[in-house]
Amino acid sequence: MIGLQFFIDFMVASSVLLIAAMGLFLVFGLYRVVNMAHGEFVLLGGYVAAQMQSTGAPFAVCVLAAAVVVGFASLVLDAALIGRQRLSSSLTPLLATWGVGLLISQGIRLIMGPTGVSVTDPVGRSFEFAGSVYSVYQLILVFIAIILALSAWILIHRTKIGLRVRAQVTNETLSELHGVNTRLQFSTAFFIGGMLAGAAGALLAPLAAINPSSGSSFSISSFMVVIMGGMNHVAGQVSGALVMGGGRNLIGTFSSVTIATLATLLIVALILAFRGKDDLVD
Amino acid sequence: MISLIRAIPQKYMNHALMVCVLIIALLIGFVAPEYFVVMLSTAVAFGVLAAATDLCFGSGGILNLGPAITFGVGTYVAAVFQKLGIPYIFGILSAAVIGAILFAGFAWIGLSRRRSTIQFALFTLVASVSFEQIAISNYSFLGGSNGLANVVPPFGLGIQDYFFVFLLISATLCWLVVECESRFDSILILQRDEPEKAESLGFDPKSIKVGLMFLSGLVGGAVGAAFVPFSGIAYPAQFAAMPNLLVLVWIAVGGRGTIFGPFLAAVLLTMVQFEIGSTNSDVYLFVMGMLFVFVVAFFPKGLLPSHLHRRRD
Amino acid sequence: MRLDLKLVPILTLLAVLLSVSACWRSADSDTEFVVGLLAPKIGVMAGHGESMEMGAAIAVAQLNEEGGVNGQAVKLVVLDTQSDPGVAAQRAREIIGRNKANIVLGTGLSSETLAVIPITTDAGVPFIYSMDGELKTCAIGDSSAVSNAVWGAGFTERMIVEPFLKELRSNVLDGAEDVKVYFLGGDYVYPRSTNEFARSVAEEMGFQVVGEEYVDVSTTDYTPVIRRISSSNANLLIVTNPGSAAAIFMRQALQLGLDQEVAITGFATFAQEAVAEMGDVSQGALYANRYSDLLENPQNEAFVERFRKAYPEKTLLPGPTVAAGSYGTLMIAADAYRRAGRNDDLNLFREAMNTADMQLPQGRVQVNPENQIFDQHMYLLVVNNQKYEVLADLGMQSHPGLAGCSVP
Repeated sequence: MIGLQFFIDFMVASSVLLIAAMGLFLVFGLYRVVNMAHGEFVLLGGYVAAQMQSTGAPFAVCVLAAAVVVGFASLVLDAALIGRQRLSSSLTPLLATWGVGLLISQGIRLIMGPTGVSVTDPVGRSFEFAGSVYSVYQLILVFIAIILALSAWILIHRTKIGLRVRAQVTNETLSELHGVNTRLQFSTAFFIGGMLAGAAGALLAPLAAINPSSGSSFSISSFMVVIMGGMNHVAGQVSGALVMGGGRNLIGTFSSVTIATLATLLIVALILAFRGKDDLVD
Repeated sequence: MISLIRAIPQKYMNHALMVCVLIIALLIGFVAPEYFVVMLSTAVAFGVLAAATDLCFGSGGILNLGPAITFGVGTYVAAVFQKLGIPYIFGILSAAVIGAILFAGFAWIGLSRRRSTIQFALFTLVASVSFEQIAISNYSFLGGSNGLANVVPPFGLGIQDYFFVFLLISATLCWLVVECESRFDSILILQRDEPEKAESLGFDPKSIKVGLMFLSGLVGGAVGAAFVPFSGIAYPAQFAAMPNLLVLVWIAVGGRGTIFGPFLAAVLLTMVQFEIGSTNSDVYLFVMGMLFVFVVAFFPKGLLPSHLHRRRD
Repeated sequence: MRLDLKLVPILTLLAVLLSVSACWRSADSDTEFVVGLLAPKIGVMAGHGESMEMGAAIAVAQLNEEGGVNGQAVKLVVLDTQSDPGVAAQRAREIIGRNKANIVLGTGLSSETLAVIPITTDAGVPFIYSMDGELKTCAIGDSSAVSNAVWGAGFTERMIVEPFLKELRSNVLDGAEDVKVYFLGGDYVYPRSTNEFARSVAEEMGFQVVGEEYVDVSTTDYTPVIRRISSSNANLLIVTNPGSAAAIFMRQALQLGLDQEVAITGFATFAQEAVAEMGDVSQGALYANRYSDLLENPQNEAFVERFRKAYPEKTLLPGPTVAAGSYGTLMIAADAYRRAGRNDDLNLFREAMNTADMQLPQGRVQVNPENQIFDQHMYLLVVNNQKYEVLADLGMQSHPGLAGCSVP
């Protein structure tokens, strides 16, 4: 059934992007901190997972380990660089995180060598249904993405904690006056963002490239999702992932992959050029 | 020496400093071996690019993360014109015009009080990556991923002789940038920091921004076209994210808004980069990463101390 | 704006010092035979560059054990091209002007090679490029004449496609009359030129071409392509998409069961770095190349032994292919220099080089004087547990004349 195949491929492609971008959403989407090291965080998660898997650990443990390691790394980054400079200018975190991204990717290259590593598909099974083959693991990723989106939505838009975060993002000074510890709140968000990025690296490794240079592709697609989705709302992220991932998949299916890539670049460029200030407040 | 420097009127400080650097480069060009001259030309070309970008950023408040676009377009235009047998000077002029129109166009579409700095910056970065993809995809005209190789200096000049021509061109471009900054200093800062007041005085901030980007694009295109005979090849990776971010680093290290600071930072860092990258290539990028982090953490206003009393970050 | 004036003389001094230090000549370059290797140490081809350096280092050590070349000790200088042709051009000038290279080897990208060629040719220094791909040894500005200073160690599409396809048909597809082939390539010059030629050969052989597609190398989602291949009813897939793009493609292809439907083969797709990165999804892939570390000949056994001794910690699955390449290139060039009797004469070297005929780890190699490309054996390999098993020796292959030259 061709329609079902289109739908499932569309969902898989969207899920992959959503999983990768969720960590960045917290940091850049909500707090407007340009974390240029996001891709390298994801990459680091992939490497941790590869290492853990080679020791025979079950996949879930690998994902957890990746989340913990990268979460810790982001704590260090926050403490050392972002925290102080975050509000003074938007340029400083951009440069600082880019430098850190370089340190991570070069550090990986120096320690692990320039050749990439592989993470084996933990399920490794596919099945045929109505004339098309589907991968069990890819379907699991869709499931994870849905849970992730729902949890994020509930947390940010339906709980008190989420309310406080959104308040801080809108008006930091006012929040502080109301007794919210904005510094701690941001650090927590950054930490969770790091953990999500690490977990994403582990989860996506079985169908992506994990080598010292591949961090940038994670960065680019994640930024595109967050920007396209309108930054503020989880629903925005989901729609961003659907357009970027699923849309790109559809265009690739009906014309060519290269046109799909160019089209998505063009769409993002246009959005950046024309969208009003409300969505990308400095 | 310092008393000599103090004798220069404040207004012409930038002019004087840049002339100094270019004269030093000229003198070195007389005695240095060819490979060094080429390296120096790379450094000067990037210096000019950094200065032009800082004009937009420091004085204009426009963060342009796509300076590599006009530079790269400049190299391609010059390469294509040479392949078609058109005299080189037209290549440089066309590159300047195309670069100017491109950036003016970007500014016109993407800049207004409603758009944020970061938004425009990301737009230019995405645009640059798009240019890279376009260059790779086009084999028949642009050489695809192979690029356009075998670009030689015009008029049958050797590398060393062409270096002097190149310095002359760079000096002219620098003069343009520096002159613009000093002549329109107060207007630029006004439209950057208090656009409403500027408007009430009869200046249109957007037109000024477009004008700045126009000049920046002109300079970028021209210097790229003038530079390409040294590397001998125009290629897609020139448009990648890294070269753009490097310009930002030079501005951060050199001191945003000082024009000469980024110019000097670009020249020195490029030379240092080549030196380290040659002999300790394994760690060079790592060292660069440390440098950025260090500078950003401890010298957020740039390494070269400057006192832009009217500047606000 | 005011600049801190005390800094100006300091900065001037710094600039002058930098200049002086950079001009510092490497010592003893007139009494040494300098091998200049332009290899990418960072960027996408870093793995390739690292391997090139290892192979060259082994060759240099062996040459020095044998007493050097024409009485001079051999010194290896490696400069990083950063997988960037502009930087490669700069390094080429440096390696000739500053390091006084007698011969230049490298690079890691076709664009780097094209950037380097005018510089080495101008300086009269021989350059042997290692990359497989379209011919680049024609004279600059005259594609009907051969260059006087450029040789190609890698193989061209004309040397590999036909024997590969013929062998596939008889060996793998059991002589099937009904071969339906799908061509997939990365969207850049090498795959396009290779596939263009491969397609014409396939059609001549009576294959039915059911698809031809190019994907940009930064693609992360190959699902649309995989579905298309699947629904085209192809039984043979020829992929030319190297490096990590290959790894991503294979991972996704196997997840969607493509290996059950088509025989997956390729040029460059299953090169050393790609197979190392792919891990076990490379299992069973068919690949054509000029070397496997499992080749059984005395030169290879000696080379593999040296490699293991020099780099014991490098497992380097699937085997030191690229290192064997640079080793072999340097050995055959050094032999030519010895026969020429001098280390500084391009014409004498060229005469000797163009009559070179030597047994190397990859088998017999002969320099073809017509196009200065190495005539060499091609092998059909199958990836088994990330090692290249040799299925068939496709024989000595030559490139016809100067066909397909990409030097402008």
